[in-house]
Amino acid sequence: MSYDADMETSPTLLGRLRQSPADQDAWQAFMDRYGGMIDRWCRSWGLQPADIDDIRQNVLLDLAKQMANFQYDATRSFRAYLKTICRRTWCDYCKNRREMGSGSSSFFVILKSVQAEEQFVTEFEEEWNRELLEMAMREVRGRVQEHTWRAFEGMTREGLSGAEVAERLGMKVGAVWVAKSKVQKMLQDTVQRLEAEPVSMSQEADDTQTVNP
Amino acid sequence: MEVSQCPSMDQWREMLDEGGGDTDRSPLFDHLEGCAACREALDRMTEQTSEWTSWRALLRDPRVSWPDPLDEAPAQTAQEGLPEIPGYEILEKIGQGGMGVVYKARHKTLGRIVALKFLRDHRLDDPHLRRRFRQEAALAARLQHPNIVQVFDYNTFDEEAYISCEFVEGGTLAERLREQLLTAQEAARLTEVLARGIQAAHEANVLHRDLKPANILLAKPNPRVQLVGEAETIVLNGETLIPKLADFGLARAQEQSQLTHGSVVMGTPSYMPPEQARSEPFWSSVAVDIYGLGAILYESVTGRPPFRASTALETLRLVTETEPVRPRVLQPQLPMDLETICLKCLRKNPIDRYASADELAEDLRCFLNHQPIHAKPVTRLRRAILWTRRHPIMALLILACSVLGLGLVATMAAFLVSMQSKNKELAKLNFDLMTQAELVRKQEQTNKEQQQQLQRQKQALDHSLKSMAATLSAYSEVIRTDRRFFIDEDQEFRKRIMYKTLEAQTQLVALMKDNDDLLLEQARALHSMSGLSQSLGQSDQAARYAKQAIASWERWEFLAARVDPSSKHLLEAGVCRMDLGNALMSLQSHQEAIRWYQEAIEYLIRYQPSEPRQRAETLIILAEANNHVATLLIHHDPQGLSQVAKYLSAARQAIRQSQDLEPLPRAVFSLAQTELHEGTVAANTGAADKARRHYLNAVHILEDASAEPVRQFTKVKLQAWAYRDLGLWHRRHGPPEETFQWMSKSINQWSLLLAGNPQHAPYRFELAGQRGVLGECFFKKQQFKEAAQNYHMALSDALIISRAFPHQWSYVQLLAQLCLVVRRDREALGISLADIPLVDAASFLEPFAAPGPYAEAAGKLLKELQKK
Repeated sequence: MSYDADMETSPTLLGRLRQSPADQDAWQAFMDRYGGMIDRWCRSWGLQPADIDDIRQNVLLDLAKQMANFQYDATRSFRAYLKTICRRTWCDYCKNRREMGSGSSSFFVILKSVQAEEQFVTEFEEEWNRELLEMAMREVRGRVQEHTWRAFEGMTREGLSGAEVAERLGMKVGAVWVAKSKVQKMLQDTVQRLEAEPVSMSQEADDTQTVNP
Repeated sequence: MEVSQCPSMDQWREMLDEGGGDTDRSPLFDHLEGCAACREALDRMTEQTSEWTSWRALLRDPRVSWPDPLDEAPAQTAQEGLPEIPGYEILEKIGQGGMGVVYKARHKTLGRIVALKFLRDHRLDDPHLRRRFRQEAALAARLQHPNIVQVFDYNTFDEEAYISCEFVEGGTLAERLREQLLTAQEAARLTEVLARGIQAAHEANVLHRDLKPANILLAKPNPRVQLVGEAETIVLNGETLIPKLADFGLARAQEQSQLTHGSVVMGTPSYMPPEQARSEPFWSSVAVDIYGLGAILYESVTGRPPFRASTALETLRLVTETEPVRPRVLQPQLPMDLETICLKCLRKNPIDRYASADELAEDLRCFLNHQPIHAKPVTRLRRAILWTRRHPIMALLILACSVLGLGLVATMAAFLVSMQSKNKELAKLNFDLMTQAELVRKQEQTNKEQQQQLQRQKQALDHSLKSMAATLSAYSEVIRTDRRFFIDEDQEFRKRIMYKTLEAQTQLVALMKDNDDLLLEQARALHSMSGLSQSLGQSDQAARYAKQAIASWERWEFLAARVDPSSKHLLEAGVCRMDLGNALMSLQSHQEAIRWYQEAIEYLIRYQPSEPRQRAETLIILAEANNHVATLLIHHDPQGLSQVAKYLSAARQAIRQSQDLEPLPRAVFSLAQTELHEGTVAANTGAADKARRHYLNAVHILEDASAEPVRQFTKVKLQAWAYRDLGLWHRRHGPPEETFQWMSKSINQWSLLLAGNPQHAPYRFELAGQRGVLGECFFKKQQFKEAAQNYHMALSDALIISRAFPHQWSYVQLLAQLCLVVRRDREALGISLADIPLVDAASFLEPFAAPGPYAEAAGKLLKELQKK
């Protein structure tokens, strides 16, 4: 299968913003999702609400700027690209905050900042993971039968045993296990595909079924 | 068919890869049920893969939102119409709650009208929901209370579980609140009744756990229905109603809480206490319902739940992490006591809430009876806990204060208006008197009395205006200047108070207009408004207020026959001129600033208080004014250097005189400042050694100065200057080791300053420049790693301020110079070209390269930057 990369719509928000920085919907959704993550990160470092507003806005803006300016190298993974721009974004802002500690020695403050950076990048990546997973779940959900999905949900999200789920859904225990495994595998494939940037969602949706071992 | 042998991996794989088709795989399923090895194999294939591990963990992450269940239910119900239940005649569908559909029905044998509540049908086969349903029924059936919806029976029919309960005519509180809020009294009474009902449930060991307006029914009293016990009633808008707690949907006996299932959150986010939102294991306590009652009270008077966001998840976050908006912010007329009660219910920590529903009911009763309530806005213990997060108390105190203040102002405004109309009446009365000679004498008497009374009232008004103005001025002075309260504090909050105070003062000043008696107070108020504005960073406003204040003082001086040299106003007017100078300095109007400082000096010289201490203090202020002029002349007037010496010697003299009278802590700071200026003058006139001596003098003076917290800032600032000047001096004259030492010390002080005011670009500018110098020091010592680190910080700071103030030549220039240095040495420093903001620097420089004072320098730098 071949496609012209520039013609595809990126499935993830960050990908969409990278492709078309003026996409208002993507921008809004991006602010909601990643803004929340930045809020959490800020609070975990004990920043004041006023600062949090400031940081959220500026970091997001800067992130968008970085994405527009910093070229994505298609031979590397999009994840690596994201981590790089995230680090660059953070660098612009961490120094801004470095002096905001309560007057401790600069060494301590720097150390703190380095940890903060790591955490920021990690949480950013996790948020992206969550986005990918949610997207994959929505997609897979539409491709399997209702009871198959329910079996998967029961065993993973709710942590029920195969027997409990089987009883609830009136299925055979073995069928529940197969359903869970099957959805899990489909999710894996889908996440993997979504992670590669950019790929059209709709185009490949039907192909995954015929993947061979 | 039996699969005795384990299928091969390929067989499993094949099955997984096959689409959602319905090929009969039963034998494989049966085998799987009995074969742990195959289940494991399947898991290894799909779940235990290394790539999937992190994703699997995410599946349990509550922040991940799962796709909504496919909701086919409504369509089905619509098609099916009303169900048929043996023993009941279904009359109509009356609602669809979070848990299920509700029908109105008649019990065929008893004739009793009941409500039948069904489980939502599409989750019918969920054993957990069914278990919850049965629990709900069993528990609720145990409760018998006139303010609790009575559960009669529970059963299943055709796999549909239902509850039969008391049918309540009337709407829910939620519906009611959509149309009209409750008054404070109504809300308090309602909550009291609900609290007593909840208390009864708690005594029966049943928690409600999902209290919200939608679960509160407002029944119309029905004389035909026999009630067990006397129902408590409330009156809403003239209508008598019986509040009833419904839907003990989440209720379970406390001892059964181990049934809490996984991390699935139960309840309604907006009304959920934080411990429940976090699914903490101990959330099953009466405090949960106290919170719920507080949430109902909150919504009853404000019209909105304590926390609400666009998504349930975000709401949960608000619930766990933020404080609710205080009801009085939304409804200012709400009595303080009711707010206190409400907020006590909503405390994050369950221990801080009322210990029982009865306690809450009692406090609400006290409120309704106009007795003191037991809840305190903030306990002393809590105050201690919150010491580091001071703003809630400050908010309470200060808002109370300013609301009171504004209230007073409003009352007075109303009073003034009424006085004007009284004057009109008087005039009319006088006119009538002229025509009615007969009544003249008598009426004149009354008239005189009335006028006297009015005169007295006016005096009283003037008096209270005056004292209020004085209070507000003193108050704004405290919030503006007392750094002990505000270092590292929430600046936004401080600003909010300042704005409030400013607002109150503005109103006050408007009232005082054209009132000669109040001129002095008016001037003071305007002066303090100027101070507030300056603290808020609005220097133009500050300058305007200061000028108005000065005008008031001048008018007062004009009216006063003679100004006594001991008149305090000379000091105040002088200080106000200094403040005006400061504001103008911030606005870069240096020449004008110098003129006002000079006037300030005149006033301060004229002021001759009899008290030695006051004289000493005045002399120090005088020295400071002289120092300010010197600063301006040094930095902003190329020709001014010759005059600087005059001001500096005046400053020195004033300090000496002051110290002779009485040693003051702030005198040493003025002295240090003078020393620093003298050093600068010496340095600029080529007397290098003399300059260094002055700098060192300043350092010694400052090191000896014991700084009380109030002066800490001044001390740090002067030290920052002194260290910086010494560092720069040694950079020029050597040795390098000294440069390094002083610069390090200096950077430490500037960092402190910036920490106190991160928005202040000049601090950051200093830091950027000095880190550059420090980087240079390290580079010369061949400590490249440290050098790179400092250059990095310098570049980043320079970039920040250039972005914020692209018109500030010195910022842009510094950025460009740093870029050039770092680019030159990048290989040794190990900094990649991509990490140097060359493009930014160039883009900032470009505007300066256009014809203008910086064109030449900017053009040169730009050319350098663009060299490959």
